[in-house]
Amino acid sequence: MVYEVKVNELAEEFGVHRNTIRNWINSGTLPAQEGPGRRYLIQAEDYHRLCDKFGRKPKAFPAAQAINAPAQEQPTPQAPPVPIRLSLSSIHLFPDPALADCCVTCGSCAGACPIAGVDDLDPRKIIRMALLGLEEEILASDWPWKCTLCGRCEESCPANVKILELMRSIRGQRDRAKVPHPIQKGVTTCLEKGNNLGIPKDDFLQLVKGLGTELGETICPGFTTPVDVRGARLLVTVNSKEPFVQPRQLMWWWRIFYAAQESWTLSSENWEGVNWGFYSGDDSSMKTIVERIVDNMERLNCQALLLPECGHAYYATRYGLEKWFPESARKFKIYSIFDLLLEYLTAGRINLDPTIHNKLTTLHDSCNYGRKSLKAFGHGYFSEGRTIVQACCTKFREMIPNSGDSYCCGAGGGAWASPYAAERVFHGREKARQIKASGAKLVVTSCHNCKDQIAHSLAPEFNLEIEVKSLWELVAQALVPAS
Amino acid sequence: MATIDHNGTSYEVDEDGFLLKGADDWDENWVDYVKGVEGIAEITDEHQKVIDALQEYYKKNGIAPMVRILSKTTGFPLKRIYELFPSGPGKGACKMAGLPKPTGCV
Repeated sequence: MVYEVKVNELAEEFGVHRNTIRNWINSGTLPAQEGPGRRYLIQAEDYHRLCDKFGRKPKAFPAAQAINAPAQEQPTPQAPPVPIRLSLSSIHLFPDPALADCCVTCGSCAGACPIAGVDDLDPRKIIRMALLGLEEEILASDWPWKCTLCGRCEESCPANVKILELMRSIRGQRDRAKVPHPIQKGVTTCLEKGNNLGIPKDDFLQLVKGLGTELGETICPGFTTPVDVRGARLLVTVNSKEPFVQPRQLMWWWRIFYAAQESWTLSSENWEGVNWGFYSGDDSSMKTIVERIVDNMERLNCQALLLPECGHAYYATRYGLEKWFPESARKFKIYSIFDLLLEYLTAGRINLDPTIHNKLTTLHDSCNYGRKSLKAFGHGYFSEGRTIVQACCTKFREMIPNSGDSYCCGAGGGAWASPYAAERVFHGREKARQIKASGAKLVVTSCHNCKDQIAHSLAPEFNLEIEVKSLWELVAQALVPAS
Repeated sequence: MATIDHNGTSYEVDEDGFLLKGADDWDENWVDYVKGVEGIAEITDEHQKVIDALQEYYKKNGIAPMVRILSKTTGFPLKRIYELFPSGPGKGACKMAGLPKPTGCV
């Protein structure tokens, strides 16, 4: 142990002249080294020997202890941390170097992530843990599940690390029994019963036919719901949430198809558009659910497919078609909701009256249709939505930032159904702030999850006085009846 | 595994506070507990009718019914069901009836 002393302090302590101390040091009687700030460093035993010689109690303190806190006692030594075993050889988490290897830990991702810091989450940490082979720790962590897979991190990454793919890969490698229960149960129910909520076929058919009759007797004379119509041009899927709790919402699309005189059909089997295999990182389930849509296309001899309207379902289905069923993807005409609505609009198949919607309106960009679609498929739906919205309303204002830089609503990546409600609301604070700053009273979305999150979670939590509509609801309400 | 204690009885619940063992654990005391959580003032005959309808359908089909079916069997319009269960038929009513949480984007 080394003591740090000043010559005059030592002189005072031992009652001698400071030159005496210097002489002792110079002659080697008191071995000492010159230290910083005109101090000398003296070994503890040499100092104590000197104290013994003069019959004094040692006064100086070890150099390591803070000079300002001489009264403090030695801290009780803590148990050394358990060493973490790094298994660098393991590459299960990221078979592709672009998933972690090329990260330079610059922190751009953390800056872009709206929930970085929550529960110590930081995209960099996750990438680093994957790189260091901390598999057990990262698989047990809830971070990849609190992430909404919004992709802002990836967009800001200068090294082009595929953070989303890594996050899905980590989700996919967790033991299925430990996947957040609602998500995993949604996947298994869909695989077993054909839709996430397990709605029986008879109930479904009765509902859609009843709704069709209702529509045919009111707004759309002669309308009946087409189910299993072989040779219909367009196959349409259904988000099971709608028949389950919001059946009337189904009719917005039906009214648009009626106006456009579309030849379309629903399937009586496996009509689900939702694909939670995307959320749980389970490619095999994701593929099965996409395959069912392909089977329905073949069975009903349809030529065109309307990709499911919810953001994740659009992305998962398109991704699945391109990855696992490329031939079908080429054979069929594939529409996103934006493509189809714009086609109707430009071909004059539907006419819209913008004076129907007079509130100041803004458009929320779904991460899956926008930023993520741009990266995965080379095209992000930004301008299309704006063209459609502005054809339906008189006053439009952008949120800032928007399009590729838009903030996630907070409910993506399965967060709407996951048990992490507090994180989901916190994540949405940026979106709430954007909405408020825009002054808009009507928020339009192209995704069921975004809509529910903004209307039922962000609006009450952040006192937003707004109405939220889906894009197709906005369009259906602005339809001008054919004369 | 989370548990909830109410008036001396303990219940195993999932991450969202739904009964894990469903009908095996369900009792009037559970209804009383969910009443408090959901901010329902008093359990009326109408609440009971919804609970009965949910349980009966679940026994037959292994899932919760679509809201239209619930409307039809109880005779309550959807609006009335939301008045009875402010968090909705999928969350509040299913929880009270001891059904598992519906597994869609509801």
